[in-house]
Amino acid sequence: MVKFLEEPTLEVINQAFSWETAECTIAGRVEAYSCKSAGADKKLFKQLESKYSFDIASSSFSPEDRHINNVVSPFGPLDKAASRKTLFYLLATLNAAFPDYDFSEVRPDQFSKQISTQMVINSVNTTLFNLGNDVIVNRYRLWDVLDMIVELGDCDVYSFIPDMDDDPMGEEGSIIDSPEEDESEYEDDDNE
Amino acid sequence: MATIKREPDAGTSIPNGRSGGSNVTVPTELNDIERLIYTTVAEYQDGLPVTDLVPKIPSLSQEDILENVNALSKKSLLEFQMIGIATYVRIIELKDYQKTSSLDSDSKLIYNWIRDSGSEGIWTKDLKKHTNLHINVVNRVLKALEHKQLVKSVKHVKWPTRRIYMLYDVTPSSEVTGGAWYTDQELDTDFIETLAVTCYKYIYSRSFPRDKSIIYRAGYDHYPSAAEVKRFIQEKRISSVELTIQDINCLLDLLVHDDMIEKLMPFGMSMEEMDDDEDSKGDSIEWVYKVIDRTIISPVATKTPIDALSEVPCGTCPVFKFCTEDGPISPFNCQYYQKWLDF
Repeated sequence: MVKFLEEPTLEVINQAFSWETAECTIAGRVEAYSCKSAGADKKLFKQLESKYSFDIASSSFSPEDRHINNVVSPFGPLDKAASRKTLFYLLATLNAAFPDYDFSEVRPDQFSKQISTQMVINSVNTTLFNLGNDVIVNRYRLWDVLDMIVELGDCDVYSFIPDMDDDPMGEEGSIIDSPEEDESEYEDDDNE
Repeated sequence: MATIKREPDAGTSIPNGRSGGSNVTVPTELNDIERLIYTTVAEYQDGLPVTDLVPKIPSLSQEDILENVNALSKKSLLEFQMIGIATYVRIIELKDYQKTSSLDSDSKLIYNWIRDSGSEGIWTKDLKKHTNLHINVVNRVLKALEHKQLVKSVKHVKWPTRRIYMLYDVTPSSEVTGGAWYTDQELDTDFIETLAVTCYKYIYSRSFPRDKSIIYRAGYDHYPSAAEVKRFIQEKRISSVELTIQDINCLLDLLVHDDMIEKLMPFGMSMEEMDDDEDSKGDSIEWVYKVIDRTIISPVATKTPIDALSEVPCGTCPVFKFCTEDGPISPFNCQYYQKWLDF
């Protein structure tokens, strides 16, 4: 189950995360969710397991089936439990962050794994500076705060790219700048 | 008691099909006056203004009517609704009543909004906005209503991730499911293509005579209409889903836009017969369809299609601006015309 974490340091940043330029109004949020390995969101978990897992006993060996079972996703091959778990946590986090939406049917290929955390940091910084805001990074120390909550060095970053009409941030009047706005930093606590 | 605010309707209260409430099951534990009021209100599917009840039931005094309307409302058999500035009253049918009488006020409010969304369903975000309830309350109520099988969640083909709910036994509208062209939330392009090809082949078979060296005369009036195409498709049983005439029109428009067929006015119909009224949109005209045949060879058509204006020498004349009827350069002594007409 993912749980929203109350982080005063993030709330300070979130208050700074809304400003206007000559062309547009920018609003953003940074939120932290914890992923407990107790699968409380059982329904979603079961749904994903049955969709992607390879069950030797019941499946046939037809070419289509084998193809589905070896789907390579941004999280790794989906017949591995660890990959499915990453997908599960990401979908559960999206569900928790956007309560009016249900992301259970989102396909793994709508996510993309970012090459490195440093590149993401650079890209976000560039976007923010270009929109005229350096306080979030320099004064409010966005990355230092994030590093304290999740260890950035240990993180995988994924971007969610929704279908055109179906974007929770894409309500009327908004211009979606970059998919980076919709990213999750995922620290794998149970890395053995 | 929670009331629902709605935009005023253009019409006034008109009985809607049910006469004397005969199709409505009247709850048994009502007294005569309550029964009379209940059956009167039952005639109006969308309710009627409370003030209209007085003239409709002349046998009762205004006080009696109001007192019993309130009594029925307390029993959850009538509900009030603000439409514009008037207070409307509407019956709660017995089957609804049984389902909803055990609900608390928040649940009833949410249930009513879902019920009123009909076959389109309502998004949780809108539900929150209209009821002013916190998302946690809404979620709790929705979970309970789903458990009681009173509501269900549906996927809208336009916004597959939105959480949309409708009443349990309502069939989602074709807006939600995508209609004939969507299977499992995805556009069934193979299906559309198969159908379009079939339509084309049928129209082709009706566009030209068996003998391919001739074509139909100008006044030929047996090109197929949309209705005939529909009948053909149905007889061939190609589609497992029922296709409406609008669906067929969609397919035919597709073929027209792909330049495969042309849409013709039935021969003999003059321009005067066309309705001037914008709203009719030519609904009364039964358009017919013919395949555009590009294989016809004619002496003129061997050349690529040309624009008449550029064929006339004036179109490319270098001294066009100086050319006048009575000047040194005029159409009468034009050498380009001489050349062009010298065939």
